[in-house]
Amino acid sequence: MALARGQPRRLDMPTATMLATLLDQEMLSSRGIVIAPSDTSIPELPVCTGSDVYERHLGKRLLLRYIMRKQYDEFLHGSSRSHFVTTTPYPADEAVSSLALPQPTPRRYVLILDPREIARIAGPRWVRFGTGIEYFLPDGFPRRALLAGWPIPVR
Amino acid sequence: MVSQSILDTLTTIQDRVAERHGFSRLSDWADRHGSWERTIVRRGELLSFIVALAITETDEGLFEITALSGAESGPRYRRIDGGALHLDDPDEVTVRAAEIEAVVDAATIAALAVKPDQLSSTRESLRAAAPAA
Repeated sequence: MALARGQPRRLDMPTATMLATLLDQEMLSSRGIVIAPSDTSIPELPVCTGSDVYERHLGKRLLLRYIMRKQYDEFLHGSSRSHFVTTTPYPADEAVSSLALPQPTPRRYVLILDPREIARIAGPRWVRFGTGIEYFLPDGFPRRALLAGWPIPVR
Repeated sequence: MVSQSILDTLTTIQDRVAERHGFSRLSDWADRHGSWERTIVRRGELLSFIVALAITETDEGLFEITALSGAESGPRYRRIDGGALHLDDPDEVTVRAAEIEAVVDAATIAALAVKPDQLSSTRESLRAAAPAA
């Protein structure tokens, strides 16, 4: 079911950031995908293939992994460590609050990841102490998952 | 660069605090958009208490250790920013272990002090939004 029509609704959070997150929540919900509570442990999250997440969860959308400037060239060949990623584009400073990041430096670069190139993806789950939606990459991501091949600047 | 041995030291510190306050692991070390983070949880009758320990290599080349904690109940939550310690070298975690443990302990105690009526933030939903006045 798509967004309710006809009945005007009032939201107390009119920022574009919040609206973007709400639309992602609606997208997942309309596809029957449940966003797990933030206190769900990683082993309790459902694990899907990246292709399944791409087709069935995200409607052929991509995943985002914000990075510190210091990490600019750290993942150009992919990464085997575990990463959290999100569905939602945020301005550099609002990524910190929406994703409840522990370090407040605005994230001015983002990696765009193609889920189809990632073998296993867990989630989605609500971000603890934040309003964002996250997925978990237990095995990281290969180089070929980097859509642009390098980080994209974010304002 | 944050090495596995640094993360192992921080795990030992966090697990000591977890055991003292009845927490268990929620998420093992992973890179959360630039910070290595590990979280522990204690699920209560009304609230879940979560404490995150993070280490970040800042853009200035320092290493920042942060404790972030709070409580959640469904879409409602309260976040408490704990202390942060700055290290010139990540290997300092060994000699400053007591300091780090004190920060994590304080963040954990602060989380456990949260009452249900203190959950001041809410994740909204389009479907739950009130009709316009």
